[in-house]
Amino acid sequence: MDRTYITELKKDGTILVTVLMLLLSVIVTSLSFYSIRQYQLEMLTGGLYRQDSLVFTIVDQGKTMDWRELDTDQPFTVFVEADSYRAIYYHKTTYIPPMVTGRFFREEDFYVGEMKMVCGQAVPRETIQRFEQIGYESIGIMGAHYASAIDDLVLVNIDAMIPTDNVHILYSNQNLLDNDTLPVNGELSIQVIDREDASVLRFLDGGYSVVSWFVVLLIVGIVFLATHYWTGKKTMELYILWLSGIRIWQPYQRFASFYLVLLSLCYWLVGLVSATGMLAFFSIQEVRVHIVNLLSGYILFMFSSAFSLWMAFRRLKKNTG
Amino acid sequence: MIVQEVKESLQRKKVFTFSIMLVIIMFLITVSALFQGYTQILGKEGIIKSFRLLQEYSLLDTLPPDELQSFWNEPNALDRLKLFYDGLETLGDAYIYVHTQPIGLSQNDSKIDESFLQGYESGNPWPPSSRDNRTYYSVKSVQLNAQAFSMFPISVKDGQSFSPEDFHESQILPVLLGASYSGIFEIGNTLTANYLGKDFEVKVIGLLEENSFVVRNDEIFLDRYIVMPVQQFGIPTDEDDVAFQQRHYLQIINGAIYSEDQKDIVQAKLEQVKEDVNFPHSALLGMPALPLGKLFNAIDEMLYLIQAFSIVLIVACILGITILMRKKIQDNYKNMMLHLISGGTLGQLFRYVLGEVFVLVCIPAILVTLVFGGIVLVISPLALMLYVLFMALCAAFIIIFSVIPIHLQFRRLPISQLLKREE
Repeated sequence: MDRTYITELKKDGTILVTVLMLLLSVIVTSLSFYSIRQYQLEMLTGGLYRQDSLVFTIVDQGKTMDWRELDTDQPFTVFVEADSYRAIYYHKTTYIPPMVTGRFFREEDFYVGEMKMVCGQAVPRETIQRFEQIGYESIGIMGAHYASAIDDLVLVNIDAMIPTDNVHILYSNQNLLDNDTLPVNGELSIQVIDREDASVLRFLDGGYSVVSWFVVLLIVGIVFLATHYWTGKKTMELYILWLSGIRIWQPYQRFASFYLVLLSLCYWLVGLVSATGMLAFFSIQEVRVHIVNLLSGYILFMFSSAFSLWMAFRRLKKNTG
Repeated sequence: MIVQEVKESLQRKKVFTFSIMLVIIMFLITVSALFQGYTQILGKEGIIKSFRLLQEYSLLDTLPPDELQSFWNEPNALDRLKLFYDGLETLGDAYIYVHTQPIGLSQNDSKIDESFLQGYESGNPWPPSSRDNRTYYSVKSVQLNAQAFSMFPISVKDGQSFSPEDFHESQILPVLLGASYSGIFEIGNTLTANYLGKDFEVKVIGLLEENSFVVRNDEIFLDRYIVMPVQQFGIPTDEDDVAFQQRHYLQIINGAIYSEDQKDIVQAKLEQVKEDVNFPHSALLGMPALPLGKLFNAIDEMLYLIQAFSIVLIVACILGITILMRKKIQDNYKNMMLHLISGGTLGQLFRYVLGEVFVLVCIPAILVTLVFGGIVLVISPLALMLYVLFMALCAAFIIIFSVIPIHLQFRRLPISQLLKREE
């Protein structure tokens, strides 16, 4: 690259803005990693139960449930607790824990007349063999690099369990509870259990979502200021153009587009590198969450820089009549 | 002079000055929140730190039900059992007894909320029973010996804690209530409770902090529990008392030894006690477990996450703020030219720059430290000292990284270039 061109980029602040944007992209990426791992920790220490789970027993205990008939378009997950194992069914998506070997349940594993199981990494070999002797097929071993509540779990598909136990745990993004009934086959009467959170995180009392909000505000502030800095460098140029009788809208549009493209390139360069790196260590589901987080971060970047560009243009317009 | 210059410079681009201060405030608030979270977790870890190196060796009596009666027929069976328990308590390692035996709480006037009943969480709350015109509710209760009570993170919010005397037979059995009992029973209330078939007058002496817990295989949070001390009893007064003490002592020898030693050493200590008191019916159960192992893993993971994120955030933000600060300083170049033309020196200009950066960084740093300092002080005075040091370091790094490039630029820059705006 031409040395004069580099000096020019240096002088008009483009290089510094590029460095700044790369740094901010790294912060967004780290925040995304942090929240994904934090959520993983919460789910694993909570034994795959979400904190907002609905715990209940079915009033008519003899009833055989078909959870495919729960009337909702939203994804949901339901567990039934038994003494030595736990049954699971989910619709659309669920939280998939890190796997040591094999795979977690897929939607096509339910209600097809098969008996499948996924065990935690600390479940003894003899226990797995005992289940296999009954007819269960072990499809995966789950567990993270640290010990957690899922390590001792034996999960089976819900249609394979013997329906003697009655404590159900259900979570969904939609509130499905209506006056102690659930919309299954008309109305299913349930008795809600106000179970306390049994996760060890309860002792640590850690709620760090507030940190995420501070980081979001911080990023908005820095992007706003960086854009302000860059437009400030361009203002004199635009002012001279205006003095020469050229309307400033078109060159301003060109400058703004260049800036937004530069910002996008910086952001997605870091974003794509991080997403590719994640593929090696995280599940596809977590990579997907990371990409959604990156998209949210991108909207944030675009919003704050567009706002700053708009303010700069207003100022310029005011000065140039 | 310098104060006037700094004041003028800060007022020159008010929006940018204000915005950069706001960004620094946001940055310092974020790292303060992370610092507070980190020290809070460290503080909690400190409470349970003594468990880090310990292994839990569970004990099990080896008396099958059909041999039990023949054991009680042996001479001094109960006394030997009591001596065996004393031997466990003075083993040299911690002997921890945690047992969740429900107690029958007699309540004729008001109903006990289902959430306190045994079996509630598993969907089968035990129904109340009636005896001698009294209604007994089987409420969740945990029995702890003195060593368990002192080792686990159990703190009393209101009232008083157990004293060493509370672990010996008394007319009235003192109990502590979990935090969820707040408003249901008052401190000083006397209740009737049936424990292992014997009615006791129990007195509420305190209310626990939320999220107090003990460990028996898994963590048991005590919010909905009644905590009882494991008492030592004297010579039984009648046949019923004999039967009660037999049940009680046969239960409380099934605790766990918490030790840093290997299994063979613990085994040898146990064998010695068994031999000393002529009670051979106890054995170590299976392999030792790591008490609170999962909690320590969760703590390590949380600390690691906060550390990793904080390092990225601090490095990236300090560099980012430095870049913005550079812009703020460069905005003053035109003003600096006037100074140079009027006979000012680069040294003077550098002092103005330093003063401006100092004000831009220190005002937000002092404000944030004052606000968060109070929150951190709740954790510990040491945490506050570390926090102030941490804030000072963050502010110092921003100042140094902002000023060094300008300083180098000043040293390299021929004045004529600056005057010609060729910086």
